[in-house]
Amino acid sequence: MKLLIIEDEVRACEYLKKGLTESGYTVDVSYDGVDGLYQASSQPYDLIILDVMLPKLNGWQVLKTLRSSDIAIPVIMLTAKDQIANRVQGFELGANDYLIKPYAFAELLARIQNALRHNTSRSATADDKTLIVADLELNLLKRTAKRQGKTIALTAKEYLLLELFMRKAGQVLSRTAIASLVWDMNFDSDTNVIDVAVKRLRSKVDKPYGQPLIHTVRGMGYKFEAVDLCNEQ
Amino acid sequence: MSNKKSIKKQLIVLFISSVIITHLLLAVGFQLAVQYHFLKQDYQHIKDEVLNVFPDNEQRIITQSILNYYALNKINIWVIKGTQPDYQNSAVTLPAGSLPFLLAHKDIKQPFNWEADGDTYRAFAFSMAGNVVLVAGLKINDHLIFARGMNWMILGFLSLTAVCAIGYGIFSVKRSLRPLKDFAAYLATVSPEHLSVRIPAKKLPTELEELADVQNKMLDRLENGFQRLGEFSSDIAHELRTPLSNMMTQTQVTLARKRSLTEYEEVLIANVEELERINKTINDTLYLAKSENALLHREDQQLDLAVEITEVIEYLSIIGDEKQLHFELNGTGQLYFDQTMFRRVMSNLLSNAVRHAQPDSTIHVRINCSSALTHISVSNSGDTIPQASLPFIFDRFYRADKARGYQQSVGAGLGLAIVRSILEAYQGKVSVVSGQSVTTFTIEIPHS
Ligand SMILES: Nc1ncnc2c1ncn2[C@@H]1O[C@H](COP(=O)(O)OP(=O)(O)OP(=O)(O)O)[C@@H](O)[C@H]1O
Ligand SMILES: [Mg+2]
Repeated sequence: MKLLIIEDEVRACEYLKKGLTESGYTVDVSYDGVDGLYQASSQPYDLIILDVMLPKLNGWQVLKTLRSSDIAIPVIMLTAKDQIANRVQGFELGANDYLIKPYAFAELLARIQNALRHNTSRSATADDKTLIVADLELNLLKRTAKRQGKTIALTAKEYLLLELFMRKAGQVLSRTAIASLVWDMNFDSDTNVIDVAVKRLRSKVDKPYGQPLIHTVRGMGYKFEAVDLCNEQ
Repeated sequence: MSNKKSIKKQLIVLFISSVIITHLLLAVGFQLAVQYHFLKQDYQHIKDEVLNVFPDNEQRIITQSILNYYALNKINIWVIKGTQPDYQNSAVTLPAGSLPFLLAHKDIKQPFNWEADGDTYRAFAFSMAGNVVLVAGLKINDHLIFARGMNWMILGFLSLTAVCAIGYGIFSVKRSLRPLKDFAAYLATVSPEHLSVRIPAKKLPTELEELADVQNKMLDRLENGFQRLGEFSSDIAHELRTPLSNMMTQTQVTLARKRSLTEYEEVLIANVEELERINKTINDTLYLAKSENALLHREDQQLDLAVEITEVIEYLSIIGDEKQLHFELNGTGQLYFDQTMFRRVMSNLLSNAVRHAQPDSTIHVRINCSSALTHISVSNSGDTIPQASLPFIFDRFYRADKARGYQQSVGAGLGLAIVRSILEAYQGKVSVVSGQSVTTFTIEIPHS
């Protein structure tokens, strides 16, 4: 997977490149709009991360030119402005996603995975009645969970939280994202709540069964993943 | 010269023209009055002289003795029989064309005036016995001289007053417009650094007093705004300095010598936590600034209050459970409000309540809807807010328990400020009562 970062702030670029390279991507960097546009149209990339405030050509112009020359690479826009109008403008011009600075790195990773998955048109989906990760099985119709064949009693929100984890298995979920997706709290709320909620879910889903599935990614959030015991640290 | 309107010029022109017009009118009126006075006097005089010779209640028969009397007394008379002059006792003849007028205006105050040999005469007609008319006249040269003299006098007087009026007009208009200059001078000294200027409204004429009051109120608002802006920047700088210096010290201490990987990891994690707090503080501050300036995007919709509050309670009860807190919700209601904003208000109030409630107590939420207002109160038992802190509790960055200072678990002190500014965007209010180990926050939202 090859990514292009078009961002004029050198240090931000460096960190992004490091983080993304470590997550397994091949990363190219461009520091201004004109050069970015040239690279994007001369080499095959799987995704572009595009800053809005750029020298020479701004992000909107780059995006517009790309789309009008029929280059359909997924684009994630980064901007410091969080006005609705901007966001709408971005989507109208054909941006696939939009992140407001400062963003959590985990959030960016998740969006990248999302955009790439959308692009490959999601061929490999399991059947839509159950979600299975390792020995944990979620029945989406009955809204029940089973691990090692034993039913786990969950409250409605605990079920939603578990479903979110399983659907986004392998991705880091930030506390704010969880609060927004499960409890519909679309603002910076008391994120201690998420820690307590996850702790409780763990005590039901993980504790009784040797292999932990819910992992804390310190400083970032939580990740749901079936990791082999011997691989973990 | 510009043709821009000038109040000064307009006022002066108005003043002068009104003075001249009044004087002219007065002069004309005076002239008319004098002329009428002379006419009356002349008529009375001639009538007395001419008719006194006839005995009372007797037909006026002109006899030779009467004619002699007239000649003796130098009264100019002309006797007209039918339509033809018959007799006259002086060299002065009636001008042609005067007869029809005189015959038509007998016995009334209607003179015929004419000029002959540089003299001006005035004559009246009186009917006599038979078909006879007696015309009597007199020289009125002195009247004319008097009138001319008077005209000159009036003209002189008029020019004098006009000159005075112009002078006075310019002077008084200039003087009464001078406060405007002072006004401008005051306003010219206003600048962001110097906003305490106030125009002394009391000293100004009434018309300007109002304007000055409005200006002063505007200056009040500006000064307030600037002050708030200043406080705002210093507040936020102060708020950010603490976590930043924490991070700085921690990082520098760590870098001072080689450490184990886990130690580095700990520092980085601690840094991320601090950064998250800084981020939240900045976000909340921005949110507050936006909502104070009505820049927030609002998507109002009909909300079922019980449902919304239950959602927030469900969320916060997760930490409430850790303290064995119970929640009780009473009442129902509908409200037209932005959903995220409403949840934010409830979440800020309820998270404060959860944080300050004593373990194993109940947090009460009451909804009270009347036709005009919705009241929602949140009360918890626990440590109350000191009376002295109550007035400031809704100020941004204010924390009642200052002693605790900056602590990981305590927020930035923006929660209640955000509650207030959201409510103000909806013309609502928030108030607090704290005493006898119960703290109750009540919000009040008018139905628009
Ligand atoms: N229910 C309550 N009981 C006692 N004190 C309270 C209560 N609610 C608020 N306070 C006091 O009011 C202060 C301001 O509250 P506010 O919600 O604005 O800030 P915060 O909770 O400290 O921080 P933030 O909400 O930004 O995370 C608190 O620090 C606390 O001292
Ligand atoms: Mg609070």
